[in-house]
Amino acid sequence: MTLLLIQVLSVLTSTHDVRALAEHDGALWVGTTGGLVRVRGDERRVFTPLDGLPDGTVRALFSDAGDLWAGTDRGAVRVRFTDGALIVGDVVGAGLRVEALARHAGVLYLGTTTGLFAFDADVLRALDGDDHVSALASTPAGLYVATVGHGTYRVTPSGRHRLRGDLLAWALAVRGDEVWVATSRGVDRYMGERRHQDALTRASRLLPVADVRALHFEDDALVVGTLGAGAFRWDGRAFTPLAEVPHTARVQALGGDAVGTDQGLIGTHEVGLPDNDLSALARTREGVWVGTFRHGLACIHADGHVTRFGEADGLVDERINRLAVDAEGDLWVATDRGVVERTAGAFHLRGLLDRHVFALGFVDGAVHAGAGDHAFRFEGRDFERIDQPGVRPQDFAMAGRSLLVASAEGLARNDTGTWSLTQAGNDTALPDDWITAVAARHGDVFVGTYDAGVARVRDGEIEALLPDLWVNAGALVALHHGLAVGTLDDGLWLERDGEWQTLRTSEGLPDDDVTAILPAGDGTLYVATRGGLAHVRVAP
Amino acid sequence: MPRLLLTIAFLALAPTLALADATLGAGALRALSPDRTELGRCPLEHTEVTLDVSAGVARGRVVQRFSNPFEERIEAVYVFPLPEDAAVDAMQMRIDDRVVQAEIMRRDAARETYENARDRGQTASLLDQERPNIFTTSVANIRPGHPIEVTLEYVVELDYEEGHYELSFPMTVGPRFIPGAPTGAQGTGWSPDTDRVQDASRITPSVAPTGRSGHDIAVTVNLDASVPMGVPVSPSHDLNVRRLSPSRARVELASHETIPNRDLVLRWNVAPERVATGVLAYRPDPAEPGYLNLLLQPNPAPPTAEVTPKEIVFVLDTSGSMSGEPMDRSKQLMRSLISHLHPRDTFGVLRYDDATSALSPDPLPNTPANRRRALRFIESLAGAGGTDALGGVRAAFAYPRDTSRLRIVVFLTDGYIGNDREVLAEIRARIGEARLFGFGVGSSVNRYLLEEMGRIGRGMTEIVTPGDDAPAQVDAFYRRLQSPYLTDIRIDWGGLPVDQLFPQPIPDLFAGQPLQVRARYATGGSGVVRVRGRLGGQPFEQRLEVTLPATATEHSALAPLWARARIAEIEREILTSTDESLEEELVAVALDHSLVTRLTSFVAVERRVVGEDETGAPRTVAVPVEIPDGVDPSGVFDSSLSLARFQPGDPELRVDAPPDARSVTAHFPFGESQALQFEPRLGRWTTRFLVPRETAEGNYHIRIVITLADGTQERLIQAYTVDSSAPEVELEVDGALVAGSEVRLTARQRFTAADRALHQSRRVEIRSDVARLRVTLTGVGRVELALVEAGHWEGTFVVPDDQVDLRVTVYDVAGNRGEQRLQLSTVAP
Repeated sequence: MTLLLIQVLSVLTSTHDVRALAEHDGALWVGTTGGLVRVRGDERRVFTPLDGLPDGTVRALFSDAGDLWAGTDRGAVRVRFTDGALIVGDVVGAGLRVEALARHAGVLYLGTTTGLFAFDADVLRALDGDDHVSALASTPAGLYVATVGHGTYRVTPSGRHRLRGDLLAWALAVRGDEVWVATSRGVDRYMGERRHQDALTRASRLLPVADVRALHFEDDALVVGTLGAGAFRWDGRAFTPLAEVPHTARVQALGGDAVGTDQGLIGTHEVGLPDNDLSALARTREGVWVGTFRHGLACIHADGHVTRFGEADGLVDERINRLAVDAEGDLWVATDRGVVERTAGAFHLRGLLDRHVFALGFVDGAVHAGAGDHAFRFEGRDFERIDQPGVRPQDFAMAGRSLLVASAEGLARNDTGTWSLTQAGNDTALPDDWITAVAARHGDVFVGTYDAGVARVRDGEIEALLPDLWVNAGALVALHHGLAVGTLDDGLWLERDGEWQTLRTSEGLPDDDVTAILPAGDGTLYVATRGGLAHVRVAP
Repeated sequence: MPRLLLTIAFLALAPTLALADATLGAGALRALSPDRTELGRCPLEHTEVTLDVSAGVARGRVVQRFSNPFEERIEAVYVFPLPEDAAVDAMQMRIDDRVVQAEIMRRDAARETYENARDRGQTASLLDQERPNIFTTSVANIRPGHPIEVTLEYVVELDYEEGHYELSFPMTVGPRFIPGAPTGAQGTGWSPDTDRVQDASRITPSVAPTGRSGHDIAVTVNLDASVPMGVPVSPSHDLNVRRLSPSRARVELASHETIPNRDLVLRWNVAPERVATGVLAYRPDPAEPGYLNLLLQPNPAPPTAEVTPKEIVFVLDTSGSMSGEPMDRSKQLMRSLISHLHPRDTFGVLRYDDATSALSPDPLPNTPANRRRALRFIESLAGAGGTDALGGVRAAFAYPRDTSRLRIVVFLTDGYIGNDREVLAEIRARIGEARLFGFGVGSSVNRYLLEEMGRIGRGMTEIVTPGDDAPAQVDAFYRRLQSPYLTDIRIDWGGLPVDQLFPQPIPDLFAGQPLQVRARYATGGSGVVRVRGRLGGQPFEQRLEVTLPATATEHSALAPLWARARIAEIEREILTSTDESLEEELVAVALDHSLVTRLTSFVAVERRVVGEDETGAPRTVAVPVEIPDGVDPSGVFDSSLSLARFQPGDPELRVDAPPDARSVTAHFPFGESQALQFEPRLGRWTTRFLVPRETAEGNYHIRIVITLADGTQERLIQAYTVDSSAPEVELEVDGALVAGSEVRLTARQRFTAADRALHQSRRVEIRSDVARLRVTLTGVGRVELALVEAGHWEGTFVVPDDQVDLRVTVYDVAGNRGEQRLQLSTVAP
């Protein structure tokens, strides 16, 4: 048995999607979908699962008598910054997506997407209901709970009391015995269960966008953040826009003196990846290319700096499905609206405009693309549809002189002009028709399937290697001495000499949904996930 | 990622049409192709309605005039409403000066006749019933310059109670909520057909924008009450009334009342004692059975107070179509209903849209504090989301009950759903000893659903139109509840040869309600009819001397009305029965009486071909309908999900909202929100989202918030189903497994507990979701199977020498795969 040392060397995430803000211990703490950020003066540190966080998405922050609690997509943890490092406590509610935290009557409450939980004396207890809780606030009159879909309610010893108001409630602010609720139709104000209409609540319904997502008191003035119209301060008579916040900003968090949007903290310049939701990887002379599901491309240059590319740079669409590099070392991009090539430092549309292009690969001396139930071959300035058995291509590979097409209908193979299609159940041991990825090495063909794991085809015999895994499209790479498999929610799987080892979030991977793998050429791998990019070292 | 089985485009309302262009003028209604591409001016020009009313019956004549504004032949398809209990018994088509009488046929035969004629280039028309209150006229090969008039006739019984007559005529088909997985589209509507509403595309005509429509309507009512009557009035329309005599009047819509966007409701009074009660008969042929109508106003002893304590469960529809005026009216009704509760009654309040919630976990005593609590709850309600009426019904019957009280369920809804039969079947199965009352709220409610709910629920239905006095209707409701019912009604015909009586069983009567039954009789004769029952627990009897004439040629409407009543009764039986002979019986009655039903249609074909070289199918043009008056048109947006399931990131959510909207945000049930981007090439806002792999099978909803350019908001609910269980099939080999012989192999989908759980009801028909089936015989190869019907395949194979080893691989439409194996021994020849 060969023991592999798999180690996450570094993680690169995007911290522009701000979900929570808190001032604690003299620093500003920022919860983002790319980790927890600590800002103090010019110092800025990003903490991810590599630093012990249970998940890279931090949706809630709560300063609690000297401690800071962070709510993540895999539970809540107490964190402390000591001697330049983050100390992370035990996870509370490891399977829960925590969106809100509050202490009330001595009990820590977790607001999650699947209901309200109480953590007391080391015991986590689910309370009634499975509402999607978005905010919590403790007051002398009870615990206020804002939900997405079922409005706001107040919890008192006598039970749960639903409040009149909008059903989409996002944030709470408390001052004395008054509570303000940010909703999709403005701000509501309550005392106990009584809703009060006043100039503020009426004016909030007339904001340019009344979908209010964040509330915060600043010098006794209520500041509201809207999803699409920036932020406003209530001056006692009217809402005044905060001049420093763009009038179209989508504000998602307020805290300290900071305004957090889906494009970063106001007043700071976001660098790094444009998104954590990564879809594809490739390497050219310019650097390592990272495709995202929604926000275009990024190129990580050798010096570490990152350049972003979007529609303004010639990309026909910012939904990147797959990347490939041709014989000249040029980058090809499969997008949701066509195929783009990067030559001479610019992007050029090469074809299949308005087609969802899901598969892309440089095989058989040309770039091949798959869209719908057609495959295309790009040569010179032209491209042509290739004759194939009517399958929906997912991935391409070459095995010797045979072209392999992984498809939703099985594994198609072209041997000197003749197509064959191997499907599951047809006297074969192929575990599933839906082949999401294919790779070849030393005469063996490896296929990854939608939800039936990985199989190897050797001399016409099919052998299941890893049953039950969900292999992401194109996320199967034949390494010089092994195989790397990117799975949906089961992390990265590496094989050498028939032995498999895994790497998951608990070992520092930003996310367990691995969408692309790129050998870096030096024995390391770049691993794209839906939570950011990891640089991984593999050593025997 | 769990595989997504279905997409349901559920909307507050159906999609809008683009605004009219300058050449068409600002009010013209636009025609649509089957894929809802706008084509131009609408081919339906005008609808002329004439209603002749006498002897408690109205005969309606509806003339639809179609013309062709295009340069090529067209086929016009118009989905329109008629009264839910109308017996449609005649149709004709007029082209220039030629008139073609329609024939009644089985629906599939009529469709085939129509399509053959259409493809040959002949002018033809077809009238189908989609629901008892929704019909479709299809007119093929309308040539430019040659308008076509389709005339259909029906009879309908008037509503009568205590001297008050009411006549209604619906004018538009309200937008229906369509649950289920898409299965295709046979019609021209905005919704695809689904496994729960298999004809959804035929009952969801696209909606015209607000404002004046190019298609208008005129209604004339010729009233002959036979006895002096009061002035006819309408809560829905302004009228021009001409009194011709104390008992006769001619009523027309006022000149500005030409937009067909709400029900016409017409009421008049007569002195109750002047209403002709007793028996009316029709028997034109002494060799055939006659038809009778018995109308009796029971004259019970002075009512005593009803002593049974009640438990009243109010169920409010808070879906998107109720937003605006209907919701305000519902709240008004609820305030009145709550404040008029009897002191000893208990009550609960439930609400439903795409989900259900309750004021309290149990019924509450009628105390001032509880009434205030209920009123607060009611005030907090807003109309949004889909209409899971089935969920509302289930919640109402699952609500904790006190068996010492009579359970009364009161629904307040517009009834805008497509799965009417599913809901009615549920009520029929669950009603038990409870009673169900309906308040139909709105200007064009789904009267069929509401009236049937009341009938099946042994209660009553009130339709509350915008012009109605809601508190008065609440008073009437409570009067009925507090008064004793006449129950266990039986009729002793005193030896008269009467049979086939409907409704069967005779429903209980509330105070003031007349007894009305229809029946056939074999021969003429006289006798004393005794109506017996129990009133407040005491025996009740009323006698009536009756003569049935041997021949009678007046009151010809009695025959189709009897047939219509019989058909309605069969349809109710079919709701909870799988007896196929019931449908045959329905068809037989319908063909015998020339009635359009769910299974029979009228078809008219002109013999000559409209032009040389004009064969083949003409362009199909769908006629849009008006948004019902009072329904908030600002929420006229649509959302849909892609069926693609390839890539992480799928499926794609698309929302039809204006390009200049400030934002469109989707809130997913697993705790994620996403901002959608506008895609100019699609004209839609889109995003992709990942369904977490651990998501359990079931039905989920995405909440969508649209912030328009002016800051106002619209909200939508998009439903979808996660299906991750593999399908199963049963194999059956027919024949001895003798080596070398050919045997038949049958495969049928077996519906598993998971399938049923997904469809949430064992009574609902579950349609096959198998997309692909492959059977291989080891050592031989694939066994070719032919699809016989959904979920049923057949084929043959030759038995091998040693063993039959069949391997079955089956995929469902969500991509789930199941494998099974069947091994059998063979016998030597």
